[in-house]
Amino acid sequence: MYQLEIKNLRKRYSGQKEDVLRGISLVVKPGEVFGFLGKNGAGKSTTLKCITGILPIDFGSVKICGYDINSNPLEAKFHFGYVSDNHLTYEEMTGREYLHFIASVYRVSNKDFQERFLNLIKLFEIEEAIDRFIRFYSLGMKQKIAIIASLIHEADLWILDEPFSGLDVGVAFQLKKYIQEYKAKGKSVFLTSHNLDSVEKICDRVAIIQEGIIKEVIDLHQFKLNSKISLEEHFHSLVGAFDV
Amino acid sequence: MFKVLLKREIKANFFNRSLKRNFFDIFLSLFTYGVIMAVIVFLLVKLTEGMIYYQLESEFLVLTIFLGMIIQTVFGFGVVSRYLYEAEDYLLLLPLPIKSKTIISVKVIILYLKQLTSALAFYLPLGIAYGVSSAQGLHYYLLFLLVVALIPPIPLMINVLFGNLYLRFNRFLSRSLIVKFIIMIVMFGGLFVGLREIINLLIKLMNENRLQNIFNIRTAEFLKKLTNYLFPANLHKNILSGESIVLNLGILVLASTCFVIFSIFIVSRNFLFHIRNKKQTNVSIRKKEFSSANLTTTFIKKELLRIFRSGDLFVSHLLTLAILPFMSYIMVTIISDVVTRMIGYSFVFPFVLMILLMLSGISNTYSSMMISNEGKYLPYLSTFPVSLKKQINIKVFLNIFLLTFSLIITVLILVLTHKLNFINGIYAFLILFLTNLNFIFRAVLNDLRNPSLTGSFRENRNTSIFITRTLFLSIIIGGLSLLFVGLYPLEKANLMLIAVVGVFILLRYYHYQRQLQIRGVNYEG
Repeated sequence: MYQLEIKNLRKRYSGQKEDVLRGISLVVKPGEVFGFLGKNGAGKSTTLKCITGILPIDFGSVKICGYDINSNPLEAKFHFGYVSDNHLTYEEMTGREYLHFIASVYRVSNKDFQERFLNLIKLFEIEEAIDRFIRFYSLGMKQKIAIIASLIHEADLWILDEPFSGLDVGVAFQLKKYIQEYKAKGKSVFLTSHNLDSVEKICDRVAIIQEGIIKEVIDLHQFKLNSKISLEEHFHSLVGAFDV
Repeated sequence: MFKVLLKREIKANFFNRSLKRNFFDIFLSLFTYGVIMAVIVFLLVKLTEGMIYYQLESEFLVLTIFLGMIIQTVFGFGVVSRYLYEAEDYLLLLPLPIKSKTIISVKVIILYLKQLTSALAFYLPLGIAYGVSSAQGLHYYLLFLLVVALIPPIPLMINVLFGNLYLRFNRFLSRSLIVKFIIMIVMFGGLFVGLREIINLLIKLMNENRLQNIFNIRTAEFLKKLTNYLFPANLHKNILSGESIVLNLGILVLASTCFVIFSIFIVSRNFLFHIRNKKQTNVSIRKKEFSSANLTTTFIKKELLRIFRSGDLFVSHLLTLAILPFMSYIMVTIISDVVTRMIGYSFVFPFVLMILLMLSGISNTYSSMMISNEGKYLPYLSTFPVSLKKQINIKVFLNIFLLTFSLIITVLILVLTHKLNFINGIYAFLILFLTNLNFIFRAVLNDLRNPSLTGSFRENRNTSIFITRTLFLSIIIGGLSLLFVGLYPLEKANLMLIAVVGVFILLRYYHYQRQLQIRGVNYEG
């Protein structure tokens, strides 16, 4: 069973004449880090919104750990953790309150919460600010809280939209390390990023999307062995632009 | 650059929202405003005629203009601090190659125009009533418009001058909502007690036919003496009553220009200070867990926590519902007496009902923004393993619970103070409860259809639509009650009204649940 299975996904926004997604199909295997790359407007965010249930699907299917997001949405949602690109949280809450709220929503027991909470706030170096109101956090700190919130229920699939933007160098390094630990537990990561160097280092496979179609799925282990150019150069040669 | 900026600000502040409104909303707004205006003008004409009878019309005019200026000054502090010192657009404007003086001048002009709009809304019924009562010609109405245009500069200058103090006080209150709640309750409690005393005194005097004795020579002389000192409202009055128009107009125009220039000067000195101090980091630490027994309590707790910690939500939800019983008591006392005198006791209930519907409806504006208050987080709610429908229903349940509590207290106060008898109290509660359910379900669907995700409470158009519809429906239901009371005995009329409202709420609930199913399952954000 795949952690994520997308079959022929199509999506059109109301009032538009053409589909934004024109038949996306891909799978993410257990213990795999999968990168989803494309230019701005290629359909990355729309795909993520369809996967996470934010947007309805027009045609095709999305399954998370075998649960269809359309027919069995609540079960499917229990199996992923999601970090949006704008790092949303409730800013009237303190970091601790917000994480506790998210844990309650995902029905995490208090014992598990305490254990994970202490580990994660230490890992992401946010212990000192955890009891302050989020509205007074810097952008980087807000992002850390959003990342920790997505990890608090230890889902099988971790979906990250632009996870490295806004993080300082040290925390970005910790995040990359944590992604590998996550993978080692047999769980999967599905991420989008404009940072192709990082993607090349941490991903097992990547898909390149252009104008709503997947142009290529690359096994990076094979790519590194066989190719003389970097992923960045390959990307530019494929989509023909410098705007990642 | 000045012109470009001014044009942009005028468009952003006065035209964006109204132009997007549909025809039905515009019709409802005009109708509701027309009805309310007609009632106010009618009451003011009666009052002004009384004043003319006692030869106190000039004093009445001065006092009302002065009162209007005080009200405008009090409410102006919030407008000035939001638009001048707390505005986010400085981040956008300051890096542009525009002189800061130009930005400030434009902002002060916009503030003046905002104050002018509210001044027109406040003084228009008064101006018309005075004009009708004293049979004035066209020149009076033109002068009236000119006078109203000269009123806002003084409140504006006071707001700007004491803006610093207001902001500091407000920042202190925003850090402690409990203190804010206590201050508001004490303030409204004091107002309630004061108004109750005044109303009781007036009613007692009217019942004993001693009201005319209030305006005896001593009182009249006192009022005349007092109004001599109420500068500059007496200058405004002089223009309206045709005394030395050119001289008074000259003084007011010169003074107003000076006040606006002085305001710009003061703001120039203050605003950089506020911009620098705006991002004060709150280091207060709250080491509290967010434990809850089940999903419903988790979401209720989240909602309450956000309401308590957000000043705007706190005012629009809890505070207005907390003062609803007091406001209702005051308004019902006035309306009961006026209707008894003018139409007869048997018609009191429909008018009381209409007023209670209006007050309870507009006290619950939170229902029109409970989806929007999620801001940009709204689409993210769809990723939770809890259906959006359930999350919305929990919000609605909480809102209905708090409103019902407030309605029970309201009706209890009215029954205990004999404004309503026990049976009418029960009828009133049932009609209020059912109609408010209707308001809530309608408002939630409207907010779900067009949520304002900017997170800004004041930019939410759904609230103004909600208020208009609430007032309109209150008038309709009040009118229906009046019709039934005119045709049948009161008890039968009430039962018929409950039946009509009950049918409506059943239809509305069915529609609400269906729409929630369609829109709530997959929210296209």
